[in-house]
Amino acid sequence: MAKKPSQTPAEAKAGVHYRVLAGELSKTKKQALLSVLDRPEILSALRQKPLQAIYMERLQTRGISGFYDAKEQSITVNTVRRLGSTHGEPFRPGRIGNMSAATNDRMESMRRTLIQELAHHLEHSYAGVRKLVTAAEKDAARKPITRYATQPGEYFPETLIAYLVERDALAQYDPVGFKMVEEVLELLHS
Amino acid sequence: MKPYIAFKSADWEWVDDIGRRAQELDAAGKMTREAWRAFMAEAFAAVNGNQDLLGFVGRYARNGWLGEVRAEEKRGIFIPDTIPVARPAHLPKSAA
Repeated sequence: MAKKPSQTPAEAKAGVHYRVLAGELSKTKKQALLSVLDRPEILSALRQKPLQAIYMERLQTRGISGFYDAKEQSITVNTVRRLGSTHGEPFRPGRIGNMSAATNDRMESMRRTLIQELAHHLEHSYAGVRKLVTAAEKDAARKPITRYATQPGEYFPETLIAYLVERDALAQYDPVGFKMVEEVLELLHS
Repeated sequence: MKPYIAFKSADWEWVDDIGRRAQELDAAGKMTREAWRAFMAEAFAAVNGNQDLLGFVGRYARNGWLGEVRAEEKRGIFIPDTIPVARPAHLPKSAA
């Protein structure tokens, strides 16, 4: 039987999910970084609310690193990674600093930062996502998976990364966050 | 798998303190450009080189403040070099 073409492209594409992709990384590395977005829910969300730009820039070590600019609707990921500062921390639920640090792999750390900033875009762009996140943040039973997730506005981004890369650990440690992400992804895919 | 090297953690007591003060000021409608830049300078010191952790202060930027900092950085001017900071004395000793 012939396979039906998918309504959602299998990978993030310029002009569909984002407008501009810029930076010094090679095409291969840019694609490797972008492939972290290749989930039906994320692609569906970005098709409706595309990012205006994704910058993969080599930024100064004394400067601002990865960030989401809500006004521009752009994401910047600092490609400068230093083992021991930006990544290389053992994953310990509830005790680790942040999820992009919980890997020894430079590229994986950047991929997690991209998801981190994407999460801000989703929360900024979708009222339904904000509602689900706010409800989870108010839940006394929540147990932030990282120290950074205790900061205002960082619970959803850190939990989303954990869902993607340490799913079982998240489900066990923070069922509230796990459920929040499942509901967000369901909302984005509908 | 390669063994993890010694990891320099953020000073979480300081990060929490900055986040609390920034949130309070923002909620009171009193966040100014100067106050925000001072928080950013503190945040740079508190995160111990992990620049992925600056969003907790960056989120309080008003229109144009982030762009201004990025433009300064392209000219070689960096917030941590222009605003001296000190860890608040009331905080417990850092475990970082």
